[in-house]
Amino acid sequence: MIAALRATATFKPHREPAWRVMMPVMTDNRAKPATVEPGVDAATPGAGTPDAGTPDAGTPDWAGLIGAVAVHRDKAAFALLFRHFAPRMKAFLMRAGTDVDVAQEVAQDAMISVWRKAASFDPARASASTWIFTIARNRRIDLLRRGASSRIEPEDYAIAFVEEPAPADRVAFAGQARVRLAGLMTTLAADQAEVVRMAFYEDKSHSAIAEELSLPLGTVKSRIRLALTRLRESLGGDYR
Amino acid sequence: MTRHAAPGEMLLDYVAGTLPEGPALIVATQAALVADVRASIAALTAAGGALLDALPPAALDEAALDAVMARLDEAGPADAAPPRPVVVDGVTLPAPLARALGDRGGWRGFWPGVREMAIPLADGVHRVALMRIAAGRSIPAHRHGGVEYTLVLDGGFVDGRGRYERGDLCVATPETEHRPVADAHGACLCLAVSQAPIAMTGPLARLLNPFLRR
Repeated sequence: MIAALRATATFKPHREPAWRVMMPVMTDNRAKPATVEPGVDAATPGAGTPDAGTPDAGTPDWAGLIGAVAVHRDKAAFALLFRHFAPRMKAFLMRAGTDVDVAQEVAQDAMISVWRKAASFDPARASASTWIFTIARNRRIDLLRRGASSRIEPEDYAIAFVEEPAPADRVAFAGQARVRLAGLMTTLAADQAEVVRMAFYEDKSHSAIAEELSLPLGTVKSRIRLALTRLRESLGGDYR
Repeated sequence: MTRHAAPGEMLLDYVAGTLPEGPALIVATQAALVADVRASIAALTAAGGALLDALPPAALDEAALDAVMARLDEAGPADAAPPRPVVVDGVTLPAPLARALGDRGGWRGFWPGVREMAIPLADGVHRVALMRIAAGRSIPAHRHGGVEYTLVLDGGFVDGRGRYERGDLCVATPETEHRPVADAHGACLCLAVSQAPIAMTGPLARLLNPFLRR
């Protein structure tokens, strides 16, 4: 909660629109926005159980806020999400070399997608940060492919025309709720974390990373493969 | 891990959004078929979420929030409709492939016993096609100027290096010369994505080379 409150403190509103007046004051991490009714927890499995996603002290329940947006079209909850994620999305886009004004515009558009797609967020499948990352990532792809209509939708693979056995992805997604996402990258060795960071923050393919680091392609590939193995271990699940 | 899963670096490029459309179609289609690949994608996507969360926030003023708030009740553009199922040779294509192909498919002869259905993507670099190898037939021995990905959608083949079944991905590099042979008991349907002109190396198949330079 601390980050959002700090952000709130810097605001100097010249008027008080309804959604801002509605904004709940959260005094501890267990508090839910005033506009969220108890029923929301039922719609967000895992949100209330100690081993599956209860935020640590100081971290707001982002998943619960997305649930409030989905179920109640809660603008106060949305404002809290915006204040935390929009500046990070903007920073994320700027890291990859996007112009500051474009980055802001894309972050704003992405937050509108968060509002519109909130009902498709499933806390059993991904953490709030991960889901919002995919929205920012998809906007970045759209930006790069502007003009050229893409025939690839990054999440199409989740549509099952034919039922496939062994849904190992459910296990991995559930694992995300148990692991504090913030600690995830620290489970990687420094050289593994470096290549993963470059891929996401600098928008570089693994071959571009090899070039930039003046490393043989094989070295970068093996670091990425080790990182993937470690990430999967950290997220838990019964993998063969 | 699955025996013939897309390699980690390819999955990372997919999740970060830097993989060109041809190979991205390979990853998306394999993910639709193989739970293990979905689990890897989930793990890498979680890393993306962790990194987004860890970023020091960029300056964003209150007006930005007001502007977005003012737009929340506008009607948005409709989401891309989910793809409709497409059946090719009795095989229901995985959703990503169904979207990419749409209703535009048409077979053409490629080699005796081998047919090809081009999938035009905006990629521009990769040659993307469904390949159907009749039972017991083969694609003639060839080399690749770049990487070639062959994902089995139905049936199976061997290429001298390994055996590939539904959901398996065969990756051939410029150093690889291989000759995929379909199983004797049924046709093999694959998604093939190649980066550069393929060069046939057999005496007769070399005559095909002028037609492969695109």
